[in-house]
Amino acid sequence: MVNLINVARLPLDRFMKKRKSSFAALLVAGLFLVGGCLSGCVLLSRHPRHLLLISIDSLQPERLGREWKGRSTTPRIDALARESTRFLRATAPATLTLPSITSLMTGILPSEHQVRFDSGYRFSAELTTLAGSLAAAGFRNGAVVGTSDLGPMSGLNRGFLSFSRPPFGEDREGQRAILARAGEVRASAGQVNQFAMDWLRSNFKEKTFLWLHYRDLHFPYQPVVNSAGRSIRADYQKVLSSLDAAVGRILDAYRDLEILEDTVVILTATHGESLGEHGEETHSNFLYGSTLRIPIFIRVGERFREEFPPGDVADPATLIDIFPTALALLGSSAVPALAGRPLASPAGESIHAEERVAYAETFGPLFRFGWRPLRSLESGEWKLIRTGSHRELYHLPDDPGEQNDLSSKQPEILRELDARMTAISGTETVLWETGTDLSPRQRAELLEGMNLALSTGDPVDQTAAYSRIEKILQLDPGNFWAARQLALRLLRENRGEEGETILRDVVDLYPRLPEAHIWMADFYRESDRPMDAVSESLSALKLSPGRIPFLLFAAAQNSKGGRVEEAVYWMERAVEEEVDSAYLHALAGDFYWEFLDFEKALHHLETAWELQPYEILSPRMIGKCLQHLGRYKEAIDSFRDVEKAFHDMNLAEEIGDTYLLLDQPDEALEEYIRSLSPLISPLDRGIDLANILSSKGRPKLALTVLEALEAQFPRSPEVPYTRGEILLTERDLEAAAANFQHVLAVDPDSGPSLYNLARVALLREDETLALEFLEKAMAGDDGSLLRLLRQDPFFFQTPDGTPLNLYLREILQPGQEG
Amino acid sequence: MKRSLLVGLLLGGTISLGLLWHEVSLRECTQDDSFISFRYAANLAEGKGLVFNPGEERVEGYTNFLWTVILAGFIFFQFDPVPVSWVLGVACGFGILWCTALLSIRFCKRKGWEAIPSLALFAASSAFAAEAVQGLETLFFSLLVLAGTYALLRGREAATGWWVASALLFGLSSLTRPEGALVAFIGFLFLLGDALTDTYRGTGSRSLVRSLGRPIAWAGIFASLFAPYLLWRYLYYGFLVPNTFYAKTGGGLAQITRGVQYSANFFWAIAPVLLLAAWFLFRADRERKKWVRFPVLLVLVYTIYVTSVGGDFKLTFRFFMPVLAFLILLAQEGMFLLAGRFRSRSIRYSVLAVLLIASCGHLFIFSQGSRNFARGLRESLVNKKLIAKHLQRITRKDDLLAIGTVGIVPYYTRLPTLDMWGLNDLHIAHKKSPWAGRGSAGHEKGDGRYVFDRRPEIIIFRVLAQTPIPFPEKQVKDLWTGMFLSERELVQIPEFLDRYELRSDRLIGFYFNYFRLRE
Repeated sequence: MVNLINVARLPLDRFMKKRKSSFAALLVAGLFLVGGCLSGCVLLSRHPRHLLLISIDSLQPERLGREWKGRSTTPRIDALARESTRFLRATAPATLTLPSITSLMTGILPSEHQVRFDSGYRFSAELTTLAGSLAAAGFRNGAVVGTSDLGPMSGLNRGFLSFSRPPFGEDREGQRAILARAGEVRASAGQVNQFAMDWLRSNFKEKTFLWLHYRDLHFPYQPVVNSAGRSIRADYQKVLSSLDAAVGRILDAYRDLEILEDTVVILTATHGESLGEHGEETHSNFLYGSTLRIPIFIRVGERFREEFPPGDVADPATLIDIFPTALALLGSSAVPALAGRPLASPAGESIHAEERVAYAETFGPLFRFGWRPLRSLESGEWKLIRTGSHRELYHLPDDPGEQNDLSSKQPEILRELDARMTAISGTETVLWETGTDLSPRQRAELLEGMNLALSTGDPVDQTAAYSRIEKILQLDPGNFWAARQLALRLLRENRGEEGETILRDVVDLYPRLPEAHIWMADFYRESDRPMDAVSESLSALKLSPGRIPFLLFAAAQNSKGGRVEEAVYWMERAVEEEVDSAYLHALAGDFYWEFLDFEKALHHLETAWELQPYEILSPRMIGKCLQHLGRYKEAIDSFRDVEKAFHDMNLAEEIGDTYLLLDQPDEALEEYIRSLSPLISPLDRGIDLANILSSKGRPKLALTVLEALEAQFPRSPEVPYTRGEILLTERDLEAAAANFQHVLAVDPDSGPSLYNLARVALLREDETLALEFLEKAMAGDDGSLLRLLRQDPFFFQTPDGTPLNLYLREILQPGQEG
Repeated sequence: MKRSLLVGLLLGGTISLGLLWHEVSLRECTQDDSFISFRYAANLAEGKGLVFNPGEERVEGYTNFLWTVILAGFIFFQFDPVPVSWVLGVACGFGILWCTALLSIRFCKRKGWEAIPSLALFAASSAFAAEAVQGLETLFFSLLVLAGTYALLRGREAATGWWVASALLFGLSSLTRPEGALVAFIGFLFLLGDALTDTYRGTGSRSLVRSLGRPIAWAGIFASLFAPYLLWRYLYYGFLVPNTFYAKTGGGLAQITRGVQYSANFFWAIAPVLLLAAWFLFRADRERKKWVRFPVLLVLVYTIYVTSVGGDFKLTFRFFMPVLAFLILLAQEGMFLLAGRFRSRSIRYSVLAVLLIASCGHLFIFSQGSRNFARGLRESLVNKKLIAKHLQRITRKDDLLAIGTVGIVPYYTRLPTLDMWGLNDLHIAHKKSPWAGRGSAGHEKGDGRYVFDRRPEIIIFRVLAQTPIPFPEKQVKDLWTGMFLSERELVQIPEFLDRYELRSDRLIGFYFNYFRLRE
């Protein structure tokens, strides 16, 4: 064998020695060198390629890892925590969702980005965002948020290539409701995951940043749990447990796509949840640890763990530090000047605790109840909470529950922290000094009364509840919440004017607060008085000119009141405020569409499409505008562009319609065929096609299709039946009847045919025959025909317009109606 | 360094980089069939034998014995066969380039840089690039055939070592694919013809017996590799040909018609190459054509073979890859012949450049189907892996899975699998199919009742595996397009939906619909 190999090798060796072969040898060597370099480049990639940011609303870190019957209720988040760097002293900069999330995305404090409440605010387009920075670094960014409160109105969509939020899809009514402040729309964690996974599937080959926001843990907890006889904590824990599974599913998706090890996973929260501590059930009213403490878990792949290993970090960390930390981990060099700083890992250099301060604030009390807002500052072992003339000072190592106020005992520390706090929060005296100056204890007492009033589920006890609210208003005459509750109750009792007076008295106490006018405007909106709502929103706009959410509200209310010109004016004002916003252009396009000004609608929709195609409320609207404007060929191109951009969208029917308008039936036919499901049998496809053509007012074309189909399926009863239906619509009664009779010849029990023959008889004014056919149809019906009739009782009517019910009553057997 | 060598290296390097880019751009498109081999290889590496379902009846559902065994070696040493197959495929691709350059230099008497046209034609073909990264043995087999041919032709010239090497290389090619035996047979005939011609013409003053000695010895060396393998195959699996042969053939005239279409499509995709090759064959002088007899014979016989077996369902023309190098070499010679008609050097080079660019352009444009096919495979690979991972979570390890595409999903789930198309199932492969020769090659056989009676826990219909919305169970009986024989017969069994429920699970980006045995 060895000899054999040698024999084979000899000529090869000789060959290689020859000069001629040096070309090929060098070529191959060069190729392997290039190949090696390319593989080396891939292997030596020093930074992860993906960022997954999970923010959970109202997550109290102490509730993680709780056991039930010996098992953790949050096993997936626990597992993530074990593989992560965990920041034990992490806090939120606000106990309200929007201000907190805006800080997360901009890396600056609420005092700088100026977003103070969950609605009515939109941060400046000039601020740099995490998404914007990563987009500049070549990342594809996607976001799915579980609440409309974090929708594009807030500006959080800036920098994202795709931004999904409820109401999802082409729900234009839903979008208008958001503009009109008609309430929050939510999506469950499962829905958020579904959108997120769809997006991830299309983009995971690129560098990605995916932000998911789960709203389920925000009160009222979703899915709604039956809290009868259970504590709020038990409900909270149950929802947290199902949320944990959702977190697990998204991590599984990353694992299944084999990118988890190349992903920085950051799990955090907007703020915590009091769950009864300090007299507060949820959040936003105080700045104690239960609502300020949040988890920050940062997990990197095995390959990067040397630099960022799992473990606990005791240094203080805040939500604003996530922006620079993420950029540093992903190797982005373009870190903007931020208030936050990159967080050190357990292996990295420890940040000196004295240098780190955690500032937080909440304007929830002011905008909900008319109480002065709160600020807090955590520095080293001390924490100061300040509101109006009240100060509280806590020594955290000795008093983690913040029960013993040491402000009177430690005046020097109090002074020092006070000065630092003022330096951070600024001196916006108007806002900080607006509202009733109540101490935290007084607030807790009032909150308890409000909770009691709210917890009354029994309608009989409603009167008692309202007497409690009246009492609260007597104790705290500037209480927005109490005034609003009473006003709404009076409105329901048709005593709207009294309610208006009560609310107006309270609103008048805050002449310089724009939100007070928006409260009043909300009341008018609910009273169905859109023009009064407009007037109030204009008052708000006088105090806060150019505030986009207020402008949109004014536009929506004008629209509702039928004042087209005014609605358009306010919408255009909003667009002028931020001309590069695809969202605003899309809204403007939708407005003009509604008012049938297709030229202007088209202009705004096309601008929105150019800026960010995903932001179009209904992508097919551009094509439809072009259709209305008679620009049919452009409409077809536009529909095709949309199909390319949104792979799941089949606009073949719209394209077919446009071809019909162009009088090109062959092309239309082709498109209608494309609109049908490819999975069903040719016969069913043909029938569906004929029905489409008939519904488009092309019965002749439909009949031609059926003719061709009949040649292919001569024995099928479906073809004559469909032809009968089309002929019936065309009032060719004789031919229709012949077709239904043809079906009956094959299938004598065909209920739908008998039913249609009854319709033919009725149209011929032969009621006796109609009844006869109908009786036969009902006799052999397995329930489906009856269901069909019930769904559309006016479908079948006598020549004089008498509805079907009259006939049904005559022929139905007793008991069948149920 | 000579200027021509420098130019050659520069151009050759650029072209090779082009090919590498071409291959990288089509990466991660490992084909489902490759995973059948991976599953056999994994079972072999784990000591369970060269089988599809360990512990069950042995079936030879692969057609690439040597490739599978090589991969088993890598798997044994804990390498993932997916990237290994890419690396090997790409390396074989460059090996083919190298061998083509050698043939050009040695037999066409070309300088090194003059091999550039053939390299460029390879680099322009997306079918070639796609075959390199699909995880199959195509380019490995093609390389063995090409290297064997080179050795065979060198062996004719003189040294004994070359024809021994050719016998060994053809032997290895026969272990790699069944067509290898056909190639070797042609090689043997060629040697025999040479010997008879020598005797007849009296060249070499040999007697007939002495002249026949070389082909017989050649056949002996080849047989020493191939015969034990054949014997082992018969003893191990019970058949002389792989089960895939039975699963893919039996279509008669319809099958041949499909094969004709397949061959025609291939020749259309390489039309300029074919025209230039024909020009060379008809117009070149004898001296220049001395080497072409064997390659031309091989191309002809191969075309007949591919046509008779009905071609392939893949748009990358893998069945023609082993002879592509010969056609390209002949085309290269045709280009030089055509350009050589002009006396002016600049015109000559210009004509050469125009011919080359036009041919490359045609090859690239007409291999669009291959590129689309490869990109489709990439999507399919991701989705099927997601399905496999999901099935791992929802099944027990002994649950029987029935599926038509038996590559990716069974490989990653490791579940016992019933192959509904019969490549890995004796019963279905040997059953006559009313669709034989009329559908997609290798996808025409099936037996719904047989599948039903085996009571698989999970049944996956290819057409339903991935849909954007859950597929409604009530529409199952209306399913039509994209249905294969077993699937069509299954839905027609009245009690099918009584025994199985259609489930739709949301995976990443799509719904996975499958039938599960009711509790």
